[in-house]
Amino acid sequence: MFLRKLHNLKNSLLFRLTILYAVAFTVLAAIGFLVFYYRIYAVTMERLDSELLEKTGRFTALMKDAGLEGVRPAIADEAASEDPQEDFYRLSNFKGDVLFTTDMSFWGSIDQQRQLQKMQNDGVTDLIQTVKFARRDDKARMVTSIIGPDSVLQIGESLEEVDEYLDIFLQLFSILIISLILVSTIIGWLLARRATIDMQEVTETAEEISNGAYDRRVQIKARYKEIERLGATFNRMLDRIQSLLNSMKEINDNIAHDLRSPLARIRGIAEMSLLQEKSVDAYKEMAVSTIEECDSLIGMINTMLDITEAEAGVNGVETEKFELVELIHEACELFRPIAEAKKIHLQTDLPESLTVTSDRKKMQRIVTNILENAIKYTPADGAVTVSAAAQNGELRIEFADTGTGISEKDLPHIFERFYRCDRSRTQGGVGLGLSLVKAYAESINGTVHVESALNQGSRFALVFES
Amino acid sequence: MRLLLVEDDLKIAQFVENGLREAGFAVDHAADGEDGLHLALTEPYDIAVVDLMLPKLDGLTLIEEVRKNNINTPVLILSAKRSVDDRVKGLKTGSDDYLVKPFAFSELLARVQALIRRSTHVTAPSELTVADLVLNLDKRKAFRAGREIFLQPLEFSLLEYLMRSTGRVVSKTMIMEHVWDYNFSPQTNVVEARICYLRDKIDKDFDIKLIHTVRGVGYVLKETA
Repeated sequence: MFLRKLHNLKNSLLFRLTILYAVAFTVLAAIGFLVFYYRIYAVTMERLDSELLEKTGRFTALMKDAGLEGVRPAIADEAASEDPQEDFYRLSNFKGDVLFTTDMSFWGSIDQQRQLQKMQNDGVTDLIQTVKFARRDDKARMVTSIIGPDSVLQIGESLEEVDEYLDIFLQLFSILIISLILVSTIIGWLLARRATIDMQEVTETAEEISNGAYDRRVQIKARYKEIERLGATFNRMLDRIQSLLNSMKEINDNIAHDLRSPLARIRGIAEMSLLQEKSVDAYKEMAVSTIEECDSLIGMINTMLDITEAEAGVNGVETEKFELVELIHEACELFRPIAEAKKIHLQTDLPESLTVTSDRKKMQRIVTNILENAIKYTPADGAVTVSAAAQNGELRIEFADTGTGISEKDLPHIFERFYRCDRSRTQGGVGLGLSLVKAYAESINGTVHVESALNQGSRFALVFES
Repeated sequence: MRLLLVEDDLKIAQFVENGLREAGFAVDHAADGEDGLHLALTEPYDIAVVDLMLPKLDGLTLIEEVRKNNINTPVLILSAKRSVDDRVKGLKTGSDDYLVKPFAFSELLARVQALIRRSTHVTAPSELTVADLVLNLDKRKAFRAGREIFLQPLEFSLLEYLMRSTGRVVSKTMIMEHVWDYNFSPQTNVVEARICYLRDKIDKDFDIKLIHTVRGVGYVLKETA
């Protein structure tokens, strides 16, 4: 339980952001302090070195003027003014015979041969080193200088003071770093929380929605642009889902009506046939009615599947090159006997040729469906005109009729599944034809437009980008 | 003609079996895939009608096994799956035709007969004759009792399709598919209107009517009522 909580915490964005912030801040601060520390150290050492060199330089000059005899008391004078625990002076010849020295009991023996060797190799007369002495805990800065022929002067100064001074800095820095880690963690946590608190809200809303509150929406507060966009996108998605749910519900209601009615009729017919003895013809009649009802049911289900498939984009689009004018002529020929029977003037206004590359079967069905509607809703002695033209990079097919038209109230809904202008449903059809037209047209990159005036007629236009 | 029917829905199997028997087929029925495969491998059939979703062994595997044994009996798949992918998969496996449930029996019969015709390589005649109605396919002319009847191209195609299916009922859907090349039927009964026109030209002036309506099912062209 605890381990899982820990694991969850480790994977939380808040935790990660806080740690990241604290680490980044601390590392940067530590680097800054280190640079600062070494700068102080370097400056201190430089000053010390230049002091030591200045002394040896002075004695070198004196050596030239007054010789060894003049230098020795001058060194002794200088040494006397210093604490022998803090500083030492040692004058010797190249062989190592000591000519003058301060009390070395605090320091330990000095080997000068190595320094001389190194100076000879490098070709210099001065050598500055930090040296650890056997009898001391602290280190010392020591200069070895050749101040005259066969004279080597070594001056050492304890680094105790410098170390103490640097230690104070180090302590100060440590305290600062520790408090920085604490402060940056808190600041990091606050910053990360501010970023995630809005996300928390989105999550909470999502949770509520998954529990069934489909009308909940995320508050869009403008704290961070990103979160604002997330919220807006989330809300848009919810709107879409809700509208889909609503349309599904509507479709379900319609299915309940449109599929159950034929089933009820079939059942009724069969039941009545069984209740009483009837002539063979009456039984045949029952079979005929059953087949007709079944066919219309199958047709309805297939059309619904066709629409769903086209909308979902499954089964794809089979493109081929075909003659659109021919396709429209064929569709008109298909309905000509019906139009003639109704005394409807079916005419076309088409160019010689219109070759298009598209899904022929889908186009066939789109054109047939619109044409069928036009003829169905046009009274006797009316006219239906089909025209097509390609211009401005688009292909336009228009179906104009002088039929009953569509009222303003119905116009926005005619492409919805199962929507029928005639609520009493006296006119045949199930209200899927135009839904299919829209779904098919859109699946082959087309759009359907309609304008209509009640009792004057409708004009459907199919527009395809070519 | 011997026909193997592999179908687990017994009600469907029964009406298909009865219908095919009446049409002159000797039908063997298997209710699951294993029985079906056993029959297909041991008995010589002229054609097999196979459902896809079967107990014990599914239809596609059955067809695969049959083809592996170098049996080239034409196979018609009968399935409730209607997506293009399923059809293509079925045909790729080695079947010859695909019919989606629910189907009209007349269509099943037409397809079965077409498959047998194809597998027995019957050559296409240049002239179709039913009673005193003659259709010359080369010259695209029609004669009834020796008198030429003038037909529009569409009417000619419709009559040709009816005559090729002589004695068999063809549904509106089949006519739309074969004559108009439409894979759907409009709500309005456009076929009925065409048949009316054709009747006026073929049957109106003669005592013996050839084109008959089978209500609820479709149309049939035959000599006797």
